[in-house]
Amino acid sequence: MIDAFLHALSPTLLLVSAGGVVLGIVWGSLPGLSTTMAMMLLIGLSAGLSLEVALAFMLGVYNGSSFGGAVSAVLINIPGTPDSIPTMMEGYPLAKQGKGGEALGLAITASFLGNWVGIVLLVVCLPVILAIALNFKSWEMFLLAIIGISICGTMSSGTLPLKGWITGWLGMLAAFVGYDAIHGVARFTYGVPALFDGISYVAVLIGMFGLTEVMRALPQREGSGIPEKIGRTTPSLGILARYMPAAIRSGLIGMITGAIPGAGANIAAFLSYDIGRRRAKPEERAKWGKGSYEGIVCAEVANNANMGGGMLPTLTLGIPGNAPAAALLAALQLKNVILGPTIEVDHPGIVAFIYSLLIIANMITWVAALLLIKPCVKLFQLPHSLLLTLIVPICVIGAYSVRSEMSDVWMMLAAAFAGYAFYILRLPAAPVVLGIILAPLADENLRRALLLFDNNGLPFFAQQYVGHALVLLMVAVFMEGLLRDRRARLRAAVTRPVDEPAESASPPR
Amino acid sequence: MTEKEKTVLSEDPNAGLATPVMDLVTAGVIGAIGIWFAIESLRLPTPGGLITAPGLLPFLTAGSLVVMAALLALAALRRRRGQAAGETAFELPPDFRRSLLLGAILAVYVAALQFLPVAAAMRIGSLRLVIGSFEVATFIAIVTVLRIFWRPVLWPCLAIAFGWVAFLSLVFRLVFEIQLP
Repeated sequence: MIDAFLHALSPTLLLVSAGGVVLGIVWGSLPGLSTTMAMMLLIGLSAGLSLEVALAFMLGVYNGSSFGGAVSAVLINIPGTPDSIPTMMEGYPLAKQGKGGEALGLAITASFLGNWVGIVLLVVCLPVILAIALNFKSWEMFLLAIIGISICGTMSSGTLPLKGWITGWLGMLAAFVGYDAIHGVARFTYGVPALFDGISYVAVLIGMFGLTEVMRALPQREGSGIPEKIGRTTPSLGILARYMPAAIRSGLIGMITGAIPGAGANIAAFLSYDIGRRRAKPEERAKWGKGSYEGIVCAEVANNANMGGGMLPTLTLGIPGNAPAAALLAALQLKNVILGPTIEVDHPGIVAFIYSLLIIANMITWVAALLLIKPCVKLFQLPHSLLLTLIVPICVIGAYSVRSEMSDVWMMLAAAFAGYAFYILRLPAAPVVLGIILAPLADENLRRALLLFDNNGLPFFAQQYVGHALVLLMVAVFMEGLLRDRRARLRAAVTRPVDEPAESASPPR
Repeated sequence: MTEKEKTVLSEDPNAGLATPVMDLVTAGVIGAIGIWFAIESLRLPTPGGLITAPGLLPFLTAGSLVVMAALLALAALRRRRGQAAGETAFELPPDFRRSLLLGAILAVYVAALQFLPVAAAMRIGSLRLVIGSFEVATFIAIVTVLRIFWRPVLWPCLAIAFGWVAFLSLVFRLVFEIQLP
């Protein structure tokens, strides 16, 4: 661990981490540019970098942009990233009272604390999960992959899991295109050479999360105000000490949420915010919605602790905990680093190196965020139509750079159109990511497992206790999702004639 | 937690019920995709027998996708029956036409990247600058998008497009040594 930390402290990696953090803070603070979008764009661009540099840069950006969303949320009432909406609900009223700087200072320190909670729990839990995961064989890995996609579907579409499962399954089908890994049979290629190597998931991810966002947000008319003076930005230790129990609770919520596939920073922030409000003292609760420091602490600690949580299933099982972690997993796959139970055997030292980079990025974020708040405010004066236009060629470079093939750019464009159709039809896009990444794992392991069962007979199958438990878990996930789905439809049927007609049926504009 | 907040507790706040007609369209398209993949999976060869067949999981996935599409369609039909007369069948975003226009520009841009026959190189000192279809097509695309979606005055659009293309080209071709179209 000490060796890895010293290696991560080398001047080049330190500089790259700092560059990533600064870029991440600036990116996250600009309305409409999300952490997921940044990470997806970086997958392709990281192809030209060495493994260490790519990891340092991506983790720096991840760390920085996780905080950056709070800046515009507090100062101009526009969340830079979706998970900073609760911070906006409490921070903007404080900014109007002239306490914007103080609110941001607190948000920075809360993010710093949240990251620490995530990192500490990651370091503690990872060896345990890894030891358990080493016992997982083909059957268990297949079931885990399917459970991962299903849970992601459930978490992504909230009250209507069916739509989440549909997009997850579509992602799986897309991943089946190309030569199969066991027999080398060309599947669904129809003689098109560009499809023989399969659909580039990098191109799909960039299209669906980068270009779709451009297509959705760029045509919207401008509407942001320019912030006024923000005042002092150094955080008050007194306020922080007062809300320490809330911070620890929120850190745990963020970490646990992050470890569930598909449940990312958005759910972590909202869940922690809601629990925080319920548990607040009456005099504190009265402030919620009108400018509560405790609300900011709850949301920021949770959405940053989520990062460590998201890394847990990513590193141990190869199942991404959230969309940015999926991007990291994809970038590592391009470098032939396959995450999963054997990560410490296949790539000794990489886990410790990732811990070290997370710690360093977190420290840099704290310092850089305090220094960058005021310059970031100036960036709000840039129109988002200009910024989003400049992202288009970066999407093209990201998709093209992986294999230097124009077919990948076309694939990215097709994915962007599909992503826009998903937006209109109110289908979640995140399960596609998990589907496309986990389908090859599920495919190979299912066939291996069936072969094993065929060779060893029924008694062998009956002894797969972990597998049986996972089958039960999978059934529970689907049953719970179907029940939730049914409840949502019943609620919609009951409330529609009373509420405004299309309240539940129109996309948020 | 109020009902409104409950719907927010999802990673994608946009995901959820669309209008019944839109959900029916979704179910139709998804069902068709599922049936197509299921049929194609059955047509794949099975070199090692049925249990290691390359089409096994694709078939199971496509089959369950068809079931999910049917469930979505059934629910949408039920909702449609209870729908009041005159309710909107298709809910489109207010900037839908502008998004379509942008999509068309992007499609032309990608086509230009592939088919524009530009390949030139020049030397400035020790630097070898390459101008390919990326530089030309990107410049034109940025100017077009900025003029339509940002501001109608030409010269700032030209200046920004030139500066950004030059920056990207230098950084990716010379610093990262990444191939560009």
